[in-house]
Amino acid sequence: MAETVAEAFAVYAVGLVRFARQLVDDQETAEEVVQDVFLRLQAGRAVRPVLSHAYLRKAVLNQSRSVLRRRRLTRTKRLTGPLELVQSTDTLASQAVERDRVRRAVSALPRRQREVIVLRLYEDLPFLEIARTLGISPDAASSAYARALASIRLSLGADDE
Amino acid sequence: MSETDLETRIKAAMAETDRECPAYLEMRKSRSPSTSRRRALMTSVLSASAVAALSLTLVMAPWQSHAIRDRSASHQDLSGNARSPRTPYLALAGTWTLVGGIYKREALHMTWPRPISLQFTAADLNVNDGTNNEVLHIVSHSDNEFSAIFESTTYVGSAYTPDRQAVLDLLDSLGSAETLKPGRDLFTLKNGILTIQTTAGQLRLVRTAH
Repeated sequence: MAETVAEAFAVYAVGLVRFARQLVDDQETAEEVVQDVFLRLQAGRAVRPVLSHAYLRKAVLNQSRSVLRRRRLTRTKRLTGPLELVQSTDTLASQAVERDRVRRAVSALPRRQREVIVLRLYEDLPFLEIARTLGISPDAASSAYARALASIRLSLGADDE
Repeated sequence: MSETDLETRIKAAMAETDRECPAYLEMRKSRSPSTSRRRALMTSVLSASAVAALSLTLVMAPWQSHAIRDRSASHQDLSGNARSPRTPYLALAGTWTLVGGIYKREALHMTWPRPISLQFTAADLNVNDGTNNEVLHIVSHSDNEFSAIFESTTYVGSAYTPDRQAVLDLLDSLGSAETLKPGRDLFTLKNGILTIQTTAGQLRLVRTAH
């Protein structure tokens, strides 16, 4: 746990940008999200929060939500576009297609389900911790996770056909 | 496809996304004149105006029809109570309060963040060319932290880095306050190097603390 904002920045910033990247789809926005979180932390030093990884992760999550809310229209437009077909037998190209399909499937999830998926599979958190981060019950987190997996399976299945 | 297989595929895609992130943090503030914030402001104001106009219409409609119907009557309703002619004015006042409140909130958001506390003297911190109201605030809150905030009438940019020495170097490098002008990509913090575009060229600050 970091004592100062500076320590927190040094220890967690890179990981937080990567975490935000999973939630907001692009690197620049992810960096902005983390920047804004640290600027807010610095501005709000009168009430010093505990600078734990869990706290910062939650702050980044909330800031990501805020950004996505503002950019919802643009994002929806982008994600509903046709899937790019890469006609190549090259392994790298096929991996890129696979990655793109999965990303799209994850991006298309409702906000809560996407957050649960990222927290579970990227951050590797147990449902209890996910529930604490999102402010929901562990059952709700588990249920959202199951629904998210079902949706992704459906999306990928539809692409496969 | 089993659940484990599916999870593996998702994790692989996430890991691939992760690998696309640069090894070092690149912090850019290349937002040109706060376009998105201005757009958000205009959208909010227009939305509020539309809602307000609708509300006003709904509030005034019964009053107007009642007034037409009873034009010749005195300002009394059937029970003998005086009707309040202030209703539309109250609605109008409410509307302006709503629109004004949203405008103020968004306007404040547009110019956030502002310096909270300064440990240097104002003369050291503010770099002003004296003609365009462009100010660079270096904000320090402790021995090891600062944020650099540039403000002009059309641009608000900010960057955070935990290195006070860089600030001192920056101030030394600037020498004269007259060189600072906004560039298209004013702040770049890349691989530990803070770059500030000026009319005299680029000021490059190497972070020494890390």
